[in-house]
Amino acid sequence: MPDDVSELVRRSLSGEESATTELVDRFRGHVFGLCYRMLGHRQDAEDVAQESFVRAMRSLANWDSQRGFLPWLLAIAGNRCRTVLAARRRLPKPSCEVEALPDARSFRRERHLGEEVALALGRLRYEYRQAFVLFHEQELTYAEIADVLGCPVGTVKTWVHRARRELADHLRRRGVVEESSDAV
Amino acid sequence: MQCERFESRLNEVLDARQPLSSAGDLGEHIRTCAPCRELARAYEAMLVGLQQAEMPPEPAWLTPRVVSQVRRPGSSTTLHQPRVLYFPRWATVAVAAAAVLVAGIGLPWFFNRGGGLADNDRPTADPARRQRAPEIAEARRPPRNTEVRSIARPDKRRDAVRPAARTPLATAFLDPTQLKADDLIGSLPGTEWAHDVADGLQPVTKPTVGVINGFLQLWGIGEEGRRS
Repeated sequence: MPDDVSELVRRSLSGEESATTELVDRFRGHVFGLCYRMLGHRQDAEDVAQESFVRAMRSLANWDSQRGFLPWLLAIAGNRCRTVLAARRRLPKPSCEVEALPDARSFRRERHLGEEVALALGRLRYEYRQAFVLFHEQELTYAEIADVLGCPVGTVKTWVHRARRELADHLRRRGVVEESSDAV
Repeated sequence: MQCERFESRLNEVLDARQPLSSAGDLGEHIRTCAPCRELARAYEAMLVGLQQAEMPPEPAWLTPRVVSQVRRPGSSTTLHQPRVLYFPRWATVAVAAAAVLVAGIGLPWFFNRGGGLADNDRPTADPARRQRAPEIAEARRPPRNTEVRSIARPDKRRDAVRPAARTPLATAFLDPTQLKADDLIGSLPGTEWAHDVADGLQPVTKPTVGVINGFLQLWGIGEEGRRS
């Protein structure tokens, strides 16, 4: 597959539109998935995914073929997400915070475990969230995540472990652990 | 297994992308340890929840839109409004404070030490004038601090420091070679105020100037360095 991607990149650089189309088609799920998890908002994720692809395609000549294409692409998308989140932080916050919601036990049937995890993910520190999503959803290796985030593998492991711990603590606080299937 | 080791072992299993049920040692431990059992359940719930978390399908229009945008010559990569730069408030305050310091301390010090537009700093083509440069510099040298202190009235102090008659501004425009820096400064509005500020800040500026002059001499570009 890496050779295949290199060939697609080469053809895309030589001006073949079909190669560009295939590149975007192949990786759009990964990029959109990361953007959606990082931003938690569909329209924003679509915009950022599009922007990330456009930037990546325009700087395709800068891609080092020794480096994986997906980590490179996800690094661009991650940086765009960070920029959007930073801009979002400058906007005035809504008066009704999520913390004001009642305990999950009171409307357990309505709220899904997936929603609780998505909610908890949104509260994680940016680096923890990105590392966790890249490991558990995008299924990148720790070395690839380190490449995306530009930090040592040990740091990535620490971030993923802390993300797991914080998510588990959140689920316990919200009282949704009992309803899940028996562990181990 | 001890409880302290339990969570790191849990992470080891997840790092290897194995199901928690595959780790027999973990299973044995949680049969007897309620807190660790709860922790394992929370981890399991987290993984189940992540699979159940909503993920909308990626938009089908993404590919044609990206391709058309990439192939369009001269199109911008920015899809949103132009980015607005926000300066943090502390940066504005810092810039204002720096400007005040430069205006209040730097400029009076710079002109008081005879720099800036002083004649002896200008390159001159006249060889006779060049020869007399040290004498001119000595004549223009402001009195020492002791001389200044000996004058009782503060309003006369400046005249003592700059005894030369000031050239009117009109003369300076007609014959710029006659222009002296002190005359020009004296003609500008707010000069008195600047001198007052400089006088008031002398306890700060004096040691600062001393340190700067020391460095200039060390580097051989100061007053002493020039003489040597």
